[in-house]
Amino acid sequence: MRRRLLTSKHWLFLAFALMLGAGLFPQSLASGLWHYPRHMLLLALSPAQHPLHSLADQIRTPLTPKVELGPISELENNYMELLSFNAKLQQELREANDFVMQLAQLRNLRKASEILLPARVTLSTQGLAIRSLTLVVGTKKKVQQGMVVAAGYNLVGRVASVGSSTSTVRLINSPGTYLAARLVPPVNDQSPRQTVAHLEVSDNGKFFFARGDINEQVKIGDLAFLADDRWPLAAQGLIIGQVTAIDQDEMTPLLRTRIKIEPLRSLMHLGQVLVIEPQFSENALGGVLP
Amino acid sequence: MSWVFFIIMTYVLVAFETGLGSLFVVGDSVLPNLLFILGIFISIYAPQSTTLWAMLILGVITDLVFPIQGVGPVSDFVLVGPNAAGFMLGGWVALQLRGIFRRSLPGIVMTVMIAFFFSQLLVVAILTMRGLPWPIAEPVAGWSAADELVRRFWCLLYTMLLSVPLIYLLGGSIKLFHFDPHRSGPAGYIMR
Repeated sequence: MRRRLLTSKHWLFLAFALMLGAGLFPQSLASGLWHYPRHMLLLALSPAQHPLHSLADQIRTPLTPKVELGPISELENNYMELLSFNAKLQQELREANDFVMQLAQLRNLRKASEILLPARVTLSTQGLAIRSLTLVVGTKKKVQQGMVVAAGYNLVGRVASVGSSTSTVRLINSPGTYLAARLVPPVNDQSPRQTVAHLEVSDNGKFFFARGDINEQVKIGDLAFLADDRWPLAAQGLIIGQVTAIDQDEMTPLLRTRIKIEPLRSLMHLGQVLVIEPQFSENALGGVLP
Repeated sequence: MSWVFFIIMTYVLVAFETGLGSLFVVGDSVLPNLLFILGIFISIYAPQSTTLWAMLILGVITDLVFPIQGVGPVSDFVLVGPNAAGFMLGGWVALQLRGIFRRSLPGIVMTVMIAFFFSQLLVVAILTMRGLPWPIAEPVAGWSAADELVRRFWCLLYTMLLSVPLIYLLGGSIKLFHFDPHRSGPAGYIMR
């Protein structure tokens, strides 16, 4: 008697294995493969389904489809927030552009009204009464007494005496120097703030300090710009230093603060500076040496 | 077994399951599986191979009628295989259990519970395997095996509950199935 090669058990096992494999088919393949059988099955079921559907709807009102809008509404909120943030940034950009234009105009004006004369520093002197630099420029280069000396945007001092080829600069950290400065934040923050303070030089000359009101909003990191009428116009707005500490005043701790301001560059270790020579104004060198 | 009556019963139960789905549904998507109850009923009385072929057919129909639910209304897709294999496993489990449980209503309900448990375990395993990191991996969008196991546990309880009246009704029409009353042992049971 001839025996069959594949029995019913074998076919069932194969079918089981096939179904296991078919469960891993990619979505596109499975959709294409089973779309037509599903359609035919639903077509065959439709005569019985419709009356049952209406019966079910009569007994129990159909549930409202639950639409998951969570992520969509979240995305919409994010989008709106980003739009408003973008508008705010655009506004800030416009303001910044305006400010840059004003600065450029100011710079052009300064360029026309001033000459920046580079000068090498040959000697740094730290005496009891005065701290000074000696420069290798003098009257031959049209340097005059009272001219402002800067290092980049940092205020260094004023020319105190001039020789034919050299000059002496009195540094701003010389003992007994008093400066009026405007303390402002280094970047535009949301609440524009500025404080005017009078700076005194510390005994060692390494920093300045000012006494501020306890209610004044000075923060560490604020920059101190010169705002002193006793100084020439060319020096106004140059940087004196940066606020590095704010402590309670020893005498009146509940009312006043002691603000410590350190120069951004060490004034005693400069290799080269700029002497600002005014061009137009006759009173450009006005003001008394502080 | 009369395959014609089996087809008729399958048609009726599928129509009930899909047509009255909005009536049967509990919560979001907890539904009883009437076709599985029919398969277990057959497995109690029919021979082994007949049971497994019937389970295969019922599983394929379940796969065709109930597509895999992806994320969003348009991402559902038909995937024949998971339920077909699961039903076959459930049928095999039922065949093993029919020597343990008596052919009474509680015994059949217990068989439904245990077989459905293994069946759904395999379905979840197959669909989870689609997300494994291998070359042909294509995970089901938004698939969470843990969530599915919880949902299918409630489906199991619901199916058990509905198996009581359905087995009772199917028992009333047992003569129409024409189960072979003279076969015993692993091939089938003698009708009492």
